[in-house]
Amino acid sequence: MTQLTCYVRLLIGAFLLLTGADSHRALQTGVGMSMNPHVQLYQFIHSGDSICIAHVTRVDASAGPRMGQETLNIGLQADETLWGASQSPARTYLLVRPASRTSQLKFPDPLWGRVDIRQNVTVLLVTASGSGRDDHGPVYVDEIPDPNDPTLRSIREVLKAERSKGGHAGEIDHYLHWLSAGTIVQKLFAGEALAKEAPPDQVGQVSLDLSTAFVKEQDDYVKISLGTWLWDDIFPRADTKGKVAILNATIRAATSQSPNTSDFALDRLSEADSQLFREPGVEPLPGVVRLLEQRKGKETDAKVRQHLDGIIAALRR
Amino acid sequence: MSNGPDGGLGKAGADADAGFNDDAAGSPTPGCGSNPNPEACQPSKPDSPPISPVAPRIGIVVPVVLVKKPYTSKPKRQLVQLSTDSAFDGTGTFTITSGADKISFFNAAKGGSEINSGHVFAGSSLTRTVSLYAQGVKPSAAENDVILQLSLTPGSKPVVGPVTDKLTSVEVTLDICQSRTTPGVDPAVVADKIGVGRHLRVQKGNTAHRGMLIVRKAEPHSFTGNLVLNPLNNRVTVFAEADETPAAGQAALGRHTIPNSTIDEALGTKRWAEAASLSPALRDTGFQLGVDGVDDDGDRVVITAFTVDKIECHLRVTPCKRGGTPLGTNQSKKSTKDDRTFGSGYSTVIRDCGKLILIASVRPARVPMTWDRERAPDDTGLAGLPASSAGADDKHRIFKTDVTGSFNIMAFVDANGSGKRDPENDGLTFNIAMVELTVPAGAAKNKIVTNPNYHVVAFPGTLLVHSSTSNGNVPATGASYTDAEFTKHLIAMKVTVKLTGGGANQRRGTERITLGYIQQTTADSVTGTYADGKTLKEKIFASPLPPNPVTAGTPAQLAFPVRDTRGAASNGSGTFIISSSDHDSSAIATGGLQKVVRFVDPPAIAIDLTHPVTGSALASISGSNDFEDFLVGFSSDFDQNFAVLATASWSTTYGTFSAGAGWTNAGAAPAPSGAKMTVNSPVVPGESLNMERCPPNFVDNLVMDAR
Repeated sequence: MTQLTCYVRLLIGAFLLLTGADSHRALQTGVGMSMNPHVQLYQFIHSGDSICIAHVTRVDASAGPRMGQETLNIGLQADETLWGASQSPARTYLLVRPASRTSQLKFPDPLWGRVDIRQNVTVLLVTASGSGRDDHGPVYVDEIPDPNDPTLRSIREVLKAERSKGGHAGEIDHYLHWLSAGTIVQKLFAGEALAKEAPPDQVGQVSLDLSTAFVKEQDDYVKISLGTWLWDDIFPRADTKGKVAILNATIRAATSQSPNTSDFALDRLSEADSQLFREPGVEPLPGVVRLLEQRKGKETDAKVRQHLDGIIAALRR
Repeated sequence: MSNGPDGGLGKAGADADAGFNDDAAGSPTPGCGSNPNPEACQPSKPDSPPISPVAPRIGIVVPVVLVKKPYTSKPKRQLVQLSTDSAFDGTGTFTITSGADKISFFNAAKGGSEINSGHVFAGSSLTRTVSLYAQGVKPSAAENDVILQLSLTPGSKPVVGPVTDKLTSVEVTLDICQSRTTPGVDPAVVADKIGVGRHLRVQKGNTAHRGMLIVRKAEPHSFTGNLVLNPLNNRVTVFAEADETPAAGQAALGRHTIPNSTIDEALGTKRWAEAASLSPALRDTGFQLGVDGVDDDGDRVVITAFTVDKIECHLRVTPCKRGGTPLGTNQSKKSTKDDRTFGSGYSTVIRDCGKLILIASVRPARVPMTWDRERAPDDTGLAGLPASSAGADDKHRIFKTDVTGSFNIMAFVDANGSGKRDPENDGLTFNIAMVELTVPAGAAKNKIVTNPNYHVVAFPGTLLVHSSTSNGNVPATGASYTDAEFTKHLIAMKVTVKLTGGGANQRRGTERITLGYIQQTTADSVTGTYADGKTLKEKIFASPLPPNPVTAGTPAQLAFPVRDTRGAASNGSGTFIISSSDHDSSAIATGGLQKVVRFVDPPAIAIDLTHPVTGSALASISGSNDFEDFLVGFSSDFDQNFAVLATASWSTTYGTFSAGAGWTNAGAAPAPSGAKMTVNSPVVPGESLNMERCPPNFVDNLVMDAR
């Protein structure tokens, strides 16, 4: 079966010809061809996981263990350790998956789904070697289609910078630089690191800088990630000035054209302390009141509606 | 038996014969009348040498008898010997001149006939010695207040005057007490110390309480002898008055004496009874109290030495809809401790997850058990107790999971009739936390999010339609991710759940609750139709699966619903759809724990571009995948019981295909049941909503049907 899946990338062009191409055709030939930029690099290195580049040395398929299943015996050779302790270079993993091609396509494996499993394919392999995890199997696997893949390049840069980290103040600036001008990998890493590692004396500044980055960010995934860390990790520690900055950034996000971003922002605003909206410096945008009114219209609980009334009143003051 | 006014002489012969079988009492000496004066009736034989008069004798070795209790063993009767100092052919009269109502006399050590005051014995019997046996009837008023007399009526020899001796009838009383109802206050005595007695838990690690024994001052109070307290067997031991609380270094007293003079008239003397080893049957041990040197068995108390070995807590599992788990199958946890502190261990259930059946294992099995429950003293801001009702017998008790917090459920022997787990009512404790799940109000707390991005991904000979940018790649179950992940998948559900447990912070037990989504396929009508009219359909077949695709025959299909996840697990988070996660967890300052529970799903279809049997070209696609989702919770202590907090359903279509134009996203759309899940408050059992937690899975049993 691995022979079947390996044709995916080779025959994309042929499929384009087969299915045609007009404005209604949502053909996505690029998806799956590059590495996942949303890789949770920060979580991996803070869980003590090992990250390496490896290649598949063999793939042995056998039927079972149950009817309709097949078991792949996947041999891997670690070629380069990017993070963590060097582990045994040769590893073997078992993958049980549906035997039918249809099911393999319909239900990609949650761990190996990013890899066209075939001999000599190169992968980014994250393994659990730290105390933070229970097993020692793969945590994450992603195919590396090209040694110069931009995501891999970003991962290398982040890990290199983290290795040289010495706990000095310049690191904050480094993260802030990534936030403003980095790749998706770098932005996500920097955002999470700032949110979770900012020392108390720098929370104020980080709340302002992260708020700015949140406002400027255009990628939904990155924007919502930054917003989540702002509210979950920074907001509880921020002073009033920082809280107001986060609030203003979220008010602006609420009026975003992206439903995902707007909805995220409205959720956060609707649950914030209504008194905060009365703070000097809060910048009520006209559109946000309308959106909050709409949200109130969807709410069935009297207390929630009352809370939203308080926010709306504060923004209209 | 009563003697007549003639002193019983008229019947004396018969009585003597009856009891002593030989020398019948002789007739009165002729001429002496019916009331002979011994002096006057001495025969006159002036020519014979002087004849020495016969003297009566009373011989008593132990001048104390015990008052018999109906439940003691046959009391040891004390020997009283009547005799003469030489051969005698007259008669002798036995008389109790004082205290006749306090002691009975018999002609045998056991059984026999009672010998009453005034009984006349034949001289020949007295010559050989008559043995009487004395048994206490009621206590003497003072020592030696029962006076016996033997007087002789001459026969052929003169006699000397009567002789007397004294006995004391002693009554001893031993009580055993109930357990205390109030610390520091002496408990009441057990009312029925023989028919019921006291239950004492067999000592283990000095945790079992001892039972108070009270040795009452014997009557008559002036009695100067020693009482003796004696364990009936080795299943009980006795400790000194100061040793109420078991501790190392205390010596069991065993059989020991207590001078009656040292016993307080009002309060008695205390001892402490401890169960040392298990009673095979009820009331098979205890203590006896007697008089040292007289009889050990003057009174008794009985004891049952019991153990409560464990309390099991059973909770029914959510039944599998097909195979595997019969309705009524339970999971259980047990406690072998009697420790009400939750630091010693506890189990957790979700409030309203079902009834708990508590089962106590006790030996001997007939020891009656009582149940009680109480709220943990550190529970804050919570009230109420779980409702309870009778089980199959006193060893079973049913508790509802109808309150929030942490509780001690106790099975014990009610040793004072209070019906409560008083401090000395020994038993075991099962500590349990009941965690309430609620969804706070507000749209932000309960969302169904869709991000349709239907597209095809190239694969040779196959129309592969993905519904979202993730191309089917999802986070692992239990992974840490945020709402940002929603942007990459067709559908996501996110519900914020408040978990309220016990303890001061209302979080006791919440750490054992896992929340997640069980998704099941409720219908699958995805179909590819080919130019020749043939079809290729998604079907979920029963195991063992037919070859893919199915081209002939009638292999069995699985009835809906079919679980949508991977693997063979039917417990815990193994039942959850891949990506389900409650990793987002935070403490609530005012009490409780908040978890944000998410999952994402990016479904796809893969249909052959040519029919696998006829080779005809794909002409169109139709149909949908339909799902139902259950936001469930389980406790790690009962990981097959799933309580459903919220439900939703959704379906997706996959666009349009035609031979000429290929695939377009026209008509491709998710159709959730609403913008939020429908919340069950309180939670409901999974089976009530037709939920399938068990394999086989949609993923594993999907086979294309080309028939």
